[in-house]
Amino acid sequence: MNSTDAALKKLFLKEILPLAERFHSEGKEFFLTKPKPGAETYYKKRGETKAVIEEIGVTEDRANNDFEKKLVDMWTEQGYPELAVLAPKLSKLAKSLRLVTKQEEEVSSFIYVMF
Amino acid sequence: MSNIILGISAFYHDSAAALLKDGEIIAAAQEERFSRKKHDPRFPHSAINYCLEEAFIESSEIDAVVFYDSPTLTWDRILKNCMMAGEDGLEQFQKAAHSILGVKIWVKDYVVNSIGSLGKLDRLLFTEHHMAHAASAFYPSPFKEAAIITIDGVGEWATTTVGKGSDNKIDLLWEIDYPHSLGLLYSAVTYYCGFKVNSGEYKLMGLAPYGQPVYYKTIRENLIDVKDDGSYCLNTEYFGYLNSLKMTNEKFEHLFGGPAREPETHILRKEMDLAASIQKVTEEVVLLIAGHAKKETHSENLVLAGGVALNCVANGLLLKENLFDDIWIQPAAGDAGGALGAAMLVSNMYFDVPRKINPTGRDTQKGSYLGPAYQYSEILAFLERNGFPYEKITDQEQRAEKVAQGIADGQIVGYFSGRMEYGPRALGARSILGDPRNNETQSKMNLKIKYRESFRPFAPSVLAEDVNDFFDLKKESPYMLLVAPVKQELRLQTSISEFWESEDDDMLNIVNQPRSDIPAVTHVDYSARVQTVNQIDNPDYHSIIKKFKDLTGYGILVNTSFNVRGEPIVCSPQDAYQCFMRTEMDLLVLGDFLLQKREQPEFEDKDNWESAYELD
Repeated sequence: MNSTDAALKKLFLKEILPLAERFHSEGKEFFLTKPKPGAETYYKKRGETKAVIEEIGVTEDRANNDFEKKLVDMWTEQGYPELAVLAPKLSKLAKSLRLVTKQEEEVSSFIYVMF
Repeated sequence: MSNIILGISAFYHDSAAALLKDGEIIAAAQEERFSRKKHDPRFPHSAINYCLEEAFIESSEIDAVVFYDSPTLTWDRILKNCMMAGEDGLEQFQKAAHSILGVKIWVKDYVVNSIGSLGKLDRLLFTEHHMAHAASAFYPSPFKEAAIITIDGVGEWATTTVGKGSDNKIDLLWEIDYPHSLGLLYSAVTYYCGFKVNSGEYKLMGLAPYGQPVYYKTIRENLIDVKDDGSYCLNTEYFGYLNSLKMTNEKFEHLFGGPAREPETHILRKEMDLAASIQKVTEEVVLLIAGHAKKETHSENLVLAGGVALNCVANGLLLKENLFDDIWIQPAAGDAGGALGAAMLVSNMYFDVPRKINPTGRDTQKGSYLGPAYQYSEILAFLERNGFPYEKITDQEQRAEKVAQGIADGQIVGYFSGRMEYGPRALGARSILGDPRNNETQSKMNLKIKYRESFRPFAPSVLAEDVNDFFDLKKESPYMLLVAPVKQELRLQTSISEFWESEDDDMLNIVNQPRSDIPAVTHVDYSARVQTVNQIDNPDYHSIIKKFKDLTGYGILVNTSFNVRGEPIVCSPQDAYQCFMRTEMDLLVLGDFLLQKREQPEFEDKDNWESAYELD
């Protein structure tokens, strides 16, 4: 395992997973995992109905900081300051991952390409 | 000064590029056609280069470059999914981190490396995935206003959206979010039936008529809760995609009585019945969503996009229901269309370029002939350089007569003409053509030309003016996105009912039975995925079908895509010649040039294509 993957594993096991377990114990779930008895609808009404067109700046540092800033803003607005705290680490990891990751050449046969 | 927008989709599946000039579509193409790698997910360098060439512009003249997906929102979904998965989320987390943090948030680097700049705006724009789908459906449509439905596997969070478009504005009003996804449900059953996810879903659709929906109740009671408004929720306990790298899990297997079918093994009654069952569920949900869209928007028109909009059987039922006066579906309804949609969104909503509406009442997709054409001189140079014998017929009428005569004589024709199609369907620019009246055409084309599963049906191209001679179809279908029944009076009795009642799982017993007097394009349930061909969009192709009608009385041909199984549709004359020589096609048309197989030199196949093109 290279150092970047080791860092990813460490981040997940040491910080993300404990946070997940805490959320779970507090009854905070990010989404339904099964049908809800008595639900009248599963549609979510969109807050923003119009297109939001993001911009991301041109230099390396700005691009990465844009991403970091967007994560902080997004998670803070959602009411997850605990996730917002992770943003700088994720941003730093992104810089490392950029150096070692090549784009996928193959489309998986086994799972829908979701990321 | 013109406004030029470049739209890009990449890094998931079916990467593509599209270019608009003052709101008009100038060019659009999928990367796979250039790279020769099916569903190529890589950054579409070649497609982008083509778009710039077609527009005769340098990259410095681009006003803005836009990507069709928001990596920030996608990362939000991924992280939260992995957290919900607990310890089991680690594998996905690592893989997704590489993909999003290592590649997708750096997409601007790929753009700059490709074209040297980010356009005059000097910033890379990002749209939301389903907004891009919605834009691809609404803006090129003929409608001033319409209800909009987008359904796919997943974008960032949204898997289904309902909204409305009016003039140049789009509002998406409701959505259903991951992990609840009609597209992922369909893909899960695709996987379980032994077909490839991300590419085999349409095979499941073609398999459905061989089965009965015996698993419908099992699916409805265990996998998905559907409300009257079409909204739905999956029971994720049965799916593997939340916490593993497979669509299904042991619980799913237990529900359906065993492990997934191994790919390329014999298809059994179980798979046929599963296909029929999931198709029925999908149709039901799509119809209910459409009902909701109608109720909430009061629109008389509907536009559709997202990968599930390629389910043309569901589309045909939707049309038949008469919920809407008219329906328009983006031909590149999957992720490739996101490039076009993103560009259109920026053109309309960011730069306020007036929306182009076709005054004739037709759409502005230009027949979806948006890819490269090859000039007479290029094709001639290719043929001369290689010493391939040809006959040159520059007169369009004479050429059409010769091609039509060949088809009527039983020849299978590779037809390469004009600009390449954008989207998964061949529409008479990169097509293999055959006689639909011949009962052996389907088997011959499947086994000797496409080298694919013999249960798979072929689709017809019919003169637009003659469509009601053959099919119960109330509107034009230029993009082969609607399935319609073959007219009752043309049908022949088959033993399909007995097949359904029996334990027999040999589909060839049914495939080989003539089902109508156009057997090659009549599926086992008497349906057909129709392309109506009009003189405006493709006069050359229309002319061939017209000449065939003059000879035979039938203004209809078999039209299948010009490729072998596992290969992308051909793009260049070289691709076409190679495919021609690797198969048992009889005649190749390259623009003004006709090549007879029997006259060609022995073909030295340098590429080990049978292993190079992975079975799809």
